[in-house]
Amino acid sequence: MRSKREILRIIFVYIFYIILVTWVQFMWPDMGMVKMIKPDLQLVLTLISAYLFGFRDGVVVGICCGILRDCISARYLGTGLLLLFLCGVFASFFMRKRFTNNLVTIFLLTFVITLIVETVIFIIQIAILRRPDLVAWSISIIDIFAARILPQILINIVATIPIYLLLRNFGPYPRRQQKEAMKPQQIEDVML
Amino acid sequence: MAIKQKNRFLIGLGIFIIILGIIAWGLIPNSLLNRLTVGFSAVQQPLKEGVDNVSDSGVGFFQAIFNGMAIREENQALRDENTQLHQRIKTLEAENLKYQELKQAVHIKERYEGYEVLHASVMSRSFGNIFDMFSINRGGEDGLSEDPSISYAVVDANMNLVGRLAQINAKGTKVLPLYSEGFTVIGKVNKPDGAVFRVHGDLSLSQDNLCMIEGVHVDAELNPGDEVVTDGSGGLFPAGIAIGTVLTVEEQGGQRVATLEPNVLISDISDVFILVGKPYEDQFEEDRVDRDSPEEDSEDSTEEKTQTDDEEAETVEENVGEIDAAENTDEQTEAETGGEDTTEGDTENSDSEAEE
Repeated sequence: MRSKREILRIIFVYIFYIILVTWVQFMWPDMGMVKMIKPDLQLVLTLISAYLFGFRDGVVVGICCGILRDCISARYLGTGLLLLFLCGVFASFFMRKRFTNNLVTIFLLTFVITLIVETVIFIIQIAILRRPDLVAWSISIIDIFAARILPQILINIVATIPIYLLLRNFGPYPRRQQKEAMKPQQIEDVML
Repeated sequence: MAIKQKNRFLIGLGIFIIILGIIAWGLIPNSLLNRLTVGFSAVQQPLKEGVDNVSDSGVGFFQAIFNGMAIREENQALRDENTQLHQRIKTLEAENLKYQELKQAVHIKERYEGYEVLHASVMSRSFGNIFDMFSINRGGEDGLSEDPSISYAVVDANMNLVGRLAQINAKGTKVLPLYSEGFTVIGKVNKPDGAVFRVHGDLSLSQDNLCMIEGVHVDAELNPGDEVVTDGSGGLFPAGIAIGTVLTVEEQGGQRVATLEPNVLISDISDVFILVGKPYEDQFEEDRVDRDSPEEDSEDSTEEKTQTDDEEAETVEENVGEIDAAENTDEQTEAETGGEDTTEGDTENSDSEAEE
């Protein structure tokens, strides 16, 4: 059972990180941005919090980030919410029983989920927003992968490092609790 | 453990269904959900301004500490520049007066007459793919209609097309940039009888800040480097707003397809201007007045023209009379002069010539 202080810490730290990450992503001037691509910090925060701290944290962070994303820049309300919620759910189940919580695993997680997300968004854009008869599939998919998906994956992986370090060292849970959570079979008891 | 897994699955499924419901609800025009985002805009604006103020203050403080000497020198240079600018302002004021006189003289029509220009600051940047809209700090409270069927053109400080308003709330609005899918405008080459075509955002080109040009007539002249402006048909965008420059022209499947490089780079924009057209009722009223007034004007102008013609005719008659009188005077003078210098025979000859 958590103390009131611990619960407050979790809430305030998450609120701080969610607002910070959203502000950096959407309100920071686009200096140094290459080809309109910048790191999806909200996605990375959701993935890492879900992977490190479990299902509940991932879902809550994903929903909060998704709501903010929808309010700021989504064409259709709820799309960002659904996207980040599913990412949080998926990341909380991702290879938990096979790997330990190290940075390489999180890189892999970021790679896989960014690939899935960008591919799904591309398909949605093709299906809804663009006339299929004009699509040269063989060329477009390769072009899109080289021009957008691959750079987005690389940038997200780079963005993983600072967010991972922040959540591990200055995150919602003290380091002691995290170490205990690393032990197999105890993770559910500690985090949930 | 199995129970927890099952609970998680049920919770996740429940949330998933709720989110699907939210998406469906959000697709309904003017739904309550869309109006709920107004509150977010109300929070976002002061937050952004506060952060900007804090960052400006912080930057200013550290600059004052570390760059004191540089600031002093810069201050001196700015004073000198200020003096020069004062002088230049005076010169420009004098030139402006001349320009106003010229403008009145040749009746230059205002470029976007009938449109009110509304300034707005960019509150958030676009993120790309389907989250490509950016928000600005103007909304229904500033006179913009929140009716989803009404939109407005957005331009930058140099009157280059930026996009159009997409979701208007009371305090904030989202802007759909011109290179996004779903954005379409009728453009034309900025030449007399220039080709007219459709300019729209494209998925594969948006990464490079480019737009697609389609619907180009086979015989139309379209070359790389051509300047493209809005055609004005459709009613949303007034004619003559600069869009960009044609980059490439290709043939694809029997159709001419071109790419366009917009003049504006969305990521660099911090301020935009909304072109607010007059409401339809006002336009209708003005059109009606215009339709009525030309007849009166034409009658007046006809009378005036008639008067002018009469005056001109009188003037012409007077002038003709003066010219005739002058010619007669000259003839008389010549005759008198000739009478003094010539002999009687010559005088008879001249008389006979005069009779002839």
